Amino acid sequence: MIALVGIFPIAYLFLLSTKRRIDIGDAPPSLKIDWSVVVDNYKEVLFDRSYISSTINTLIITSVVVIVSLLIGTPAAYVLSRLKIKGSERISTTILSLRFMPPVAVAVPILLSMRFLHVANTRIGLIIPYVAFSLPLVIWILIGFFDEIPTEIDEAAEIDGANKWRILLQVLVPLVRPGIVVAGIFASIFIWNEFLIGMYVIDAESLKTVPIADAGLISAQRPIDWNVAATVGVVTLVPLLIASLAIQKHIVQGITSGAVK
Amino acid sequence: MKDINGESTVDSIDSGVNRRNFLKVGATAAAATAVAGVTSVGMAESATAASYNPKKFAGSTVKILLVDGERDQNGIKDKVADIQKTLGIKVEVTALALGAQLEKIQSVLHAPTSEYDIIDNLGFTVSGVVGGGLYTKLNTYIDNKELTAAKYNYPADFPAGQLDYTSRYDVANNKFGGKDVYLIPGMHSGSVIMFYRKDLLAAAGIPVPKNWEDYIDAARKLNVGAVSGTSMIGGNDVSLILVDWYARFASMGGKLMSGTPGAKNYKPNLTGATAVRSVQHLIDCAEVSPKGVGSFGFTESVDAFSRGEVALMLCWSTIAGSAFNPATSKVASKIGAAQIPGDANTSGRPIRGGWGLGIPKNLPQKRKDAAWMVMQYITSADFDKYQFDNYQTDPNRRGTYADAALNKKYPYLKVAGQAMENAKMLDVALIPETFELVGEAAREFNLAIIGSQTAKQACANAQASWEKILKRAGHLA
Amino acid sequence: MSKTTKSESFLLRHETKTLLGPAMIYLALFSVFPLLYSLGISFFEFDRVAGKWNFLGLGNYKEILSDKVFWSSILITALMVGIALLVEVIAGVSLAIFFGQKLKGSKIVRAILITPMILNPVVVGLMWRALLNPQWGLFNWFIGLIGVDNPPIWLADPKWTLWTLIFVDVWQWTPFIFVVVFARYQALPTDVFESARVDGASPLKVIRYITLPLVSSAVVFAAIFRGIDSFRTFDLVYGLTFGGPGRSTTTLSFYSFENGFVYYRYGFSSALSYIMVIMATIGFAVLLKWIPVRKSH
Repeated sequence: MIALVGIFPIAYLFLLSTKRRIDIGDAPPSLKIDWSVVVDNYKEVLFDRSYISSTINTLIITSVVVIVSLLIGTPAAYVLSRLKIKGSERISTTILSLRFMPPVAVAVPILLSMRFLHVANTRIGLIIPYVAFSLPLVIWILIGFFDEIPTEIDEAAEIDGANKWRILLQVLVPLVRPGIVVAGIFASIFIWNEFLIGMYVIDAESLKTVPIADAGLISAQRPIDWNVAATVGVVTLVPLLIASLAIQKHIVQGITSGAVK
Repeated sequence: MKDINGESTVDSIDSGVNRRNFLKVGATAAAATAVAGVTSVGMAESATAASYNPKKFAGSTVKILLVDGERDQNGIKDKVADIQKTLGIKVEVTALALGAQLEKIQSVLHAPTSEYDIIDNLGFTVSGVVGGGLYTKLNTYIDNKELTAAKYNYPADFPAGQLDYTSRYDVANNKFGGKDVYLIPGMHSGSVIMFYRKDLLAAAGIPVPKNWEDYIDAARKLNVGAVSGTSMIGGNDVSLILVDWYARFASMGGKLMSGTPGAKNYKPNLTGATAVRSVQHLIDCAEVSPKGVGSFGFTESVDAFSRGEVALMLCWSTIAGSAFNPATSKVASKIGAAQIPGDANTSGRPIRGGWGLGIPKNLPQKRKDAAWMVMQYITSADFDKYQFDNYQTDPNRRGTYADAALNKKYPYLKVAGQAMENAKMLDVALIPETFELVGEAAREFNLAIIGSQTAKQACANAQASWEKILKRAGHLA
Repeated sequence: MSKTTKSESFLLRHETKTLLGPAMIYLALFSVFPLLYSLGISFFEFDRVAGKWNFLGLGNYKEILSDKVFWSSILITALMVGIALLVEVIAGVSLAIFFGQKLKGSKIVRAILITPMILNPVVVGLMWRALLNPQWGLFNWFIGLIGVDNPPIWLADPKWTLWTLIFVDVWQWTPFIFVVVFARYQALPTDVFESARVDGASPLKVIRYITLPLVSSAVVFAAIFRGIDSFRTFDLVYGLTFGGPGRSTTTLSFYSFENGFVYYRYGFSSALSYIMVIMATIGFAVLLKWIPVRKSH
């Protein structure tokens, strides 16, 4: 099954994280696990390379970014989807096209702006550009979900005397909840893995996010420690995996409860 | 180039140095240290003479910017407490990935005041940042007996060629060398040496190759069974040029460039016989290398050797640490290290690598002074030995390379030290387009290694590429 | 009507603006501004030694148009993005339909299936470098098991490198298409399928005439997003082949990165990026005419 192709590299990752440096290169790797080696590898990643602190940093930054994006983006999507204001097509297309820009081109201007605002090398210095990155994605996903809801619901609420804010908050948000969740998940994934901007904005070790810490795995003059890299992979994967498993319940819940017919 | 006793030492550009000279210099340096030590003791007894005052700038904080991934920061971090005790100075270390570090250096040096007090500079960037007048001249510090311990032993304890790469620079004429000191070699230097399997060579009755013909012969003979004759960084990687190609080219007496940058006559010489011969040698070696050598980066090549699948290999001496270490190498006890092969009449000239520590110019005087104290500490002989012993980064000082105890523990150390004496700087390090040039050459030579083009074609393409870049940058008419 | 407070009446009067406003302002400040700045840079070049910018006018753009690598990278980018996207869409949609059948344990398999896209780019690059290693990579070991001996050097053979990258890209991003389409699929009302089953329609017919049209908006959405993203990212090229061998895997985005961040030619790199943006905008506009991106109201 296709599942095997998808899973196999991940399983390899787990296995590799349990090996000593010298054992890499055994093909196929033995399945025997020496737990003291496992402890060594994980200890090095979590403590010596401070992956615990970088994971926490990434968690904080990602959460804030996602929450802010959703807060700003949901109303915007609502307007662009349902309110017939002039130029809404053009605005929404422009917002999407903001995503065309390769991060390479905006990395330097963003770095300079963050320095200008004196927030370079702080968490805020990452949060600000990351929200800007996520907004187009969030808005577009939500526009898609908003589009699915028939306008009769809005009209009914309007007749009842509700203003647009109330329509949004009390009527539509519950219906778009799966959309919000999906947007949140995708935004999180992309921010979690962003590293180009991060590498240049953050210097302090205590503020490094996970992808920035990863850059320390590669060096021009030392052989790559494949086993440590694999351990890093596992360490960065597991929190997201657990989170997505937990969220899955909510998606299903949201979808079934939102299917008002 | 003469050292403090007037002895003629290594001429940095053209001739190699043999072992005798190296030992002579080392002995002279040791003698000089002894003399200086005696004198300074005598001077300390006289009340009026200035003597080394380590705590003169106690109470300051010094921030250091290094590169990440090379273990440069580890020794310093271990010694933060000791620095506090000895100098009374608090030290903060920042280590960034290379790209980020280079960018940071640019912005920090051009700011009104530098954020960092000591910055480690990649050799390739020296002509840009030092030549741009952005670093403080260090001569007065070195000569100042109150600020510099007598046993510091600069310049004698450093390989002469290294001093003319990551230490001395002639800003007025935009050339390496001269009398003005702007950087001190650190945190690590390093050159390229040859690793070989003692057992395999002995079994086949082959002596350690001393020239390139013997090298390829040996590699072909040893290419038996599961073992490949040799390996290399054959992939599309700058190290292909730096480690493997330049070792051959420079050792064969090749002259990479003619003319001077900026004078519009800086012409590359990649289509000459030596250049083509060195690329051809790479192609020949690739035929007796592990399958897929054309995709090998640094790691893959070293891994293959450490797993015992390769008989001969050139590599940065820094990997000697992991190759000789039983925890990371299956053949740790079976390998030896030697100078890279030379040509008919010359000894091998590997590339000169290395970094230099400097104090930015855009700092208030007090910060510069405090920075010098810390700089001295982290480039001192004791620290050099500590860093090497614990983290196996390449030493900067001759004393470390010659140290008996360290040599017992790390048998390749003397060979690495010799390489540092013989090494040749990459000529194009004078211009900021270095990365681009090396990258383009790597692409072309990689294509030759995987068989997509001949050595001659690769050289012609590289030459065309280099000329285009040099013209664009204004170095060639 | 109940009495409204002052702030409520403010909101009432400027409803649309307060709903849309924050997003627009934010984007203008932190998205549009860097874009314009970068456009500005593209007319200059940075002199690293002097630390200053030199005005070049259209110099960078002229150089780009006469650059062989630029033109080849357009082709490579088109191939890489196009083929990968096609495969990802087909695979993603198939997976979504497959999983729609609520098999046992599918939730866990689904969670595992999305892992490729949540791994860090550096880790993905290193992992595949290890898997594709000519000596000890498990990929070759695996296909050796099914009888393929003497495989090509995946990362160094110019005939194969592009396909290798496409393969890894498909492995990594098919889950994205899958998740989006699957979410849509799950939200579909079941009565349509019920009536189709009652009518005795074969599964294939159901898929063709009912399922696909119903999820098409999600497919289009996912494809556009994935297309845009793969157009502008370069992680895989950076981690696996660095644009080589030669220039066989140099995409536009990688070329822009290489010039900007490895060679420090920021002006040239920005100009490249701008040409990319122009191309993407034109392409997108053309696309809009052909495919209804949004459900028509």
